[in-house]
Amino acid sequence: MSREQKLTSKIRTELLTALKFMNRFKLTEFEFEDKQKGESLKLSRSSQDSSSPLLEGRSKEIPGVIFSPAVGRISWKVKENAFVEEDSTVAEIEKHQSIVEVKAPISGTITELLPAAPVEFGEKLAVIEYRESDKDE
Amino acid sequence: MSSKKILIANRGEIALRVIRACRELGHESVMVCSEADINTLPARVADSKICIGPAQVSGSYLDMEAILAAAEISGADAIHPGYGLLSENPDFARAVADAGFIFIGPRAETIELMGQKAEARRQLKKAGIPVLPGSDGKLRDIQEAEKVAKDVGFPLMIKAASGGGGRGIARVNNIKELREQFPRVQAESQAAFGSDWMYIEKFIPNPRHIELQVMGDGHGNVIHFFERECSIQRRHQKLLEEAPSPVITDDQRNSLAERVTTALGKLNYGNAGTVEFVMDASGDAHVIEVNTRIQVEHPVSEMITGRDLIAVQIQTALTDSLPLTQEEISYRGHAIEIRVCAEDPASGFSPQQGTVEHLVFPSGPGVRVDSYLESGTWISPYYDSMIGKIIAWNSDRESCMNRLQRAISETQIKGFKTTLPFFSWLLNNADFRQADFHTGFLDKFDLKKEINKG
Repeated sequence: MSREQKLTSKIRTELLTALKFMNRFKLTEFEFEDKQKGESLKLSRSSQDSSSPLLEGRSKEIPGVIFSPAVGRISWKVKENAFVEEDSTVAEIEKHQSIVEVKAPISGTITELLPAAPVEFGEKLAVIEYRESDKDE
Repeated sequence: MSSKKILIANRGEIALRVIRACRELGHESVMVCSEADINTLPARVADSKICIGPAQVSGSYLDMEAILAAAEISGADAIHPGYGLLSENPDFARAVADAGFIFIGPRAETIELMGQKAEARRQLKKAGIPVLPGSDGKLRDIQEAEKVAKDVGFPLMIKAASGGGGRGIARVNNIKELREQFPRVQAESQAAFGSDWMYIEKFIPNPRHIELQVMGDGHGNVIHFFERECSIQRRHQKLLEEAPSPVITDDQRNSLAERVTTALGKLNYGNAGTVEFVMDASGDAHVIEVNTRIQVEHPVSEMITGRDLIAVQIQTALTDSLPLTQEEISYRGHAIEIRVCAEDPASGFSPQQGTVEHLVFPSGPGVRVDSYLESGTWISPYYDSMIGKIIAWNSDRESCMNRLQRAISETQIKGFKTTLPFFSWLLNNADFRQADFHTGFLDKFDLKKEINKG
């Protein structure tokens, strides 16, 4: 592989990582600017979302906010201020005779949590503040 | 009766209709809604609402677990299924009862029986209701179909045993067409209803569609609210309904009602039902199916009898007995309902989308509007295109048609096209005005041309 090819491949990998990061946080645009050096970088990700105007504010995805995936009675597996791993089960919703698991969309600390109660579909259940792991700070 | 909590497992105009009945009876209403319906009129006027899923019906209005979970957390006593959606799903009726709620509709076994069209035919015939000549049971393949076809004679109808709504149905004129169409309808039925069982019925040329509204207590007592005529159809879908039928004599009416109520009493029919008939040119009526739910066109029966059928449904379900006797039901005058849809009749009734920008519904003497529409309502692609119904009542058919025409002229719906111009044309049609029509009546017109002309 030539030096040029190697460099292209490296940039490609870095950019894909950045896009993956944006995807995880549902970001459609990312802008970086270094005023002193006069450099700037802008990335944009086209969204597949075709929500209707009426759905706004409900199942609109906001990074770190968990909206209820089902109607039913919720029981929490975690407490406020707890650290949760991405994709781990934070609560279960008893939807008549089935159980719907509520997963953490990102890793982080639970800063807000709706107390155990009946929940509607799409209701705001919790807020997670992003952190890579419970070690760093 | 003490106040109960009634959960409404439906949307749109019928949800609003049930909320209205609940409020007048002093019951509390709980609306379940999808995300797309959270801000609609029924969701706002219900005593409470619960969002149960996304806009797509599979995750909301057809999700039995979600509806039952909503019933549990709201502490509901009973569930009204409306029409369409889960209203004629026996599994839902059973799940509702099993979870300890009252299902406002017939028993699961009744829904199941009437949904199996071939078996329903057999049982209704046994109970004494005239059915069309045809197969006695279900047909599996073309060989069986050919055998029955020889006895019944052509033309005939091939129908899906679990079909409905104008799908899984075909007319064939000879053995060659039968061989071509049978596998096609069978495949369509498999795809649409998950079953390829078929049955055959004799084809009645130019029939009229007559149906009888009944209500049973589930213990052998069945009362009726007279008939409706629904012959104005497009592709087997009703567009306009009226009551009473302009062609039925008192003798025919009484004899039909007598036979139907007796037969359904034998089957211990419970809650609301509609027995649908085709009437041939000589005036003989043959049952085609029994719909185990309240129907879209129920208001015309309400207008001529002065009875609230949704209230009767609720009272019957909650008390396990009928709130009125046959002697208390009489009819007066004539009523016509039109189904207003977000469709463009000038371009083949193509579905329209949009937001209501401006809205004026008709009012004045003898006019009723059942609709969930208001300024700003979004007509979404997720649901049925029917946006409401305009119903007119007057002392006779002639004056009723004039009143309905007047009501249409007052109506303003801006933001998308509706089927109103079609009804305006129809109400001016000479044959329609003389009640000279049948279920194929609209086929002879080039509707695009007729409506563009107007």
